[in-house]
Amino acid sequence: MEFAVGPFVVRIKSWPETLTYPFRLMYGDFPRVASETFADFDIALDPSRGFRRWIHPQTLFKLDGKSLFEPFPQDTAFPLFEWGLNWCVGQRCHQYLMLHAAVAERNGRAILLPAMPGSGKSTLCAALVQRGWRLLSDEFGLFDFRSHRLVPFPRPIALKNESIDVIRRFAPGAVLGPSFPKTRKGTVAHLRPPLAAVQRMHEAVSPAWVIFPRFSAGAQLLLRAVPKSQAFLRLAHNSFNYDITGPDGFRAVGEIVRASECYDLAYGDLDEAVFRIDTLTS
Amino acid sequence: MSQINIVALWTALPEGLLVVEQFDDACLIYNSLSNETCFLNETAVEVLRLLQAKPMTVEGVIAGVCSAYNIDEGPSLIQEISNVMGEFERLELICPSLT
Repeated sequence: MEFAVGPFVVRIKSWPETLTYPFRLMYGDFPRVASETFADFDIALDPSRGFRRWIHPQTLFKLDGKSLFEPFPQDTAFPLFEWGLNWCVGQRCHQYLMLHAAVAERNGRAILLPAMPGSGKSTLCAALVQRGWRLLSDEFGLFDFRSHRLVPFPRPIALKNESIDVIRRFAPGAVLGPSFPKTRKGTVAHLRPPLAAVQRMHEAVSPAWVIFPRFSAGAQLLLRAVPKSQAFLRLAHNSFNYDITGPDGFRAVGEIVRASECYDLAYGDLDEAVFRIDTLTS
Repeated sequence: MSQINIVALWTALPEGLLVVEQFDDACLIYNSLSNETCFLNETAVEVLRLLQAKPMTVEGVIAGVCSAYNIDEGPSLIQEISNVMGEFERLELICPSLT
């Protein structure tokens, strides 16, 4: 099976039955491509061998036929696929500056939400997307060195633990996949990318805002401008490949920061945070 | 017997090896040789600018900074510039000049 997601073509040569339902639910809108198309990532999700397979079946993530990680329990094949695809992109796609950031767009301008794990980035991104922002990516801010724009890579948004119910309450109509308990990040459930994000996944956007979110339960909302030089250093630190992209990466971070208003956003209430961002960007 | 005075001249890396991003509040420099990004304050930017223009002694740099900001030479400024140049040398942004 081959399909296009953002600028990439992904081939999945084999997969366990446990992948089928969540994959169809999450990737049902993505275009299939001809089997002879060059695939950026040639993936197989194969059963692991050994006695263990009779008691606790496991799945191996293979790239180009090579197993790269420890196996995952077979019933978490979908989180394994998502995590493995992230790894593939992070390792290979140095034609982009890769920021660990969510990206969304409205009125032709993009907001970047760079953040460390646990800062509420995915929850905030999911909420913005449910309020009319177009999803470009929840995990990778891909800045194209040639076009100088942010390239969409709209995949399911991985929500963890309490965030799952937060989004269910925030947007009762949102399509969430099955919950996977006991993963390395706790319970994970995925939010299906909206159809518009998939249909427009080849429309790159210029950055306009960089907002560093930080969720803290019960915290008062605080939006504070960040000096551009600090925003530069934080974005560079947040990048997956800044160190290996040399002067191109340096210039790219500079371009993003120069084109953007930069803020810190501390929040404890999702509705309030979305409203503040909407006000700021409208 | 004549005495030989050795005067150390310093020069900055050629502009082609440095990429500069100037913002309102500070300056960032990427060093292509070391693959390092450096955050420079106003004084450091002026020191680098002087050394990019031509090789200079430490005393020349101090005089150049005083002239650029129209300030008097003082112990704290001398100390600051010495520190900046020491840091620049460590970061391989400047090196002794052969000319």
